[in-house]
Amino acid sequence: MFTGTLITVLLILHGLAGVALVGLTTHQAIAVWKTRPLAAKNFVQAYVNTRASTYTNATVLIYIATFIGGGLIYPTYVMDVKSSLTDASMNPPIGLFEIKEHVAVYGLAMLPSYWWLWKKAAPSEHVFARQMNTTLIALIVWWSFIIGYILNNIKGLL
Amino acid sequence: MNTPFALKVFAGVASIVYIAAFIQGYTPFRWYPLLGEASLEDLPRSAGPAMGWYSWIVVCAVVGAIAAAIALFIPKKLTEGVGPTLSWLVPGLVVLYTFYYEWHWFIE
Repeated sequence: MFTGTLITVLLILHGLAGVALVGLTTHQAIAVWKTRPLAAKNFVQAYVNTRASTYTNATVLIYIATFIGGGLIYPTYVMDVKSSLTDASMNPPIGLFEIKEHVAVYGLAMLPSYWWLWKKAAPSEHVFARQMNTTLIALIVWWSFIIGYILNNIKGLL
Repeated sequence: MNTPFALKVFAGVASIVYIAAFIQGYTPFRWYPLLGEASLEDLPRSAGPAMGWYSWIVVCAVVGAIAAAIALFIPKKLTEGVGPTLSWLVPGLVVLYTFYYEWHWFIE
């Protein structure tokens, strides 16, 4: 179990990787639903008009790195944060984190097929599956990020 | 080899096996953060809280990999309509079930 300065550094790195992942997956998940080419005349059109497939490898690598980081700091969460929440009878935050730990695994399990759909399947094939895979992973990342942020804030207040 | 289908089978099977292992309490080993060690046996309360998460990940990865290895040899013509949907529908349903199963934290 990591403690002291090391756990702080790991937590910050984990959070920064989460920020990057939120940006990557959100951008890709919005772009994947684009139905026709856009002129990119304004911010929204330019945002949607990105080459979404170029985000795939970075998403996979950062997801795995973030997952490993979360796995490293998890024991400290159990000993320090979860025990404080239990003592304070704060069940909802514990439940939120329980869901986070589960859905993060589902996202990890989806990465191989997600990668294949973006990198190996032809752009015109499996479009809906690509859209749903990407959107589900983005939702998992958002949930994990927000709940991690909330838990971090709660522990700071306890 | 039916690699695309195998990858999608992995996503579906690993998700189902993970939630099943969690709900059924199938935990081949536990991590004890207070001791800083893993144990194949359930240690007394003095050992501190036990973590099953790493165990469920290993279980779902192993079973998912075995299922994917079998899926490699299923003919492509049998899986063309099923594969792409399997890759997101099963994990998506497991996510929804996870919210349902963990809802007790918010009503107790």
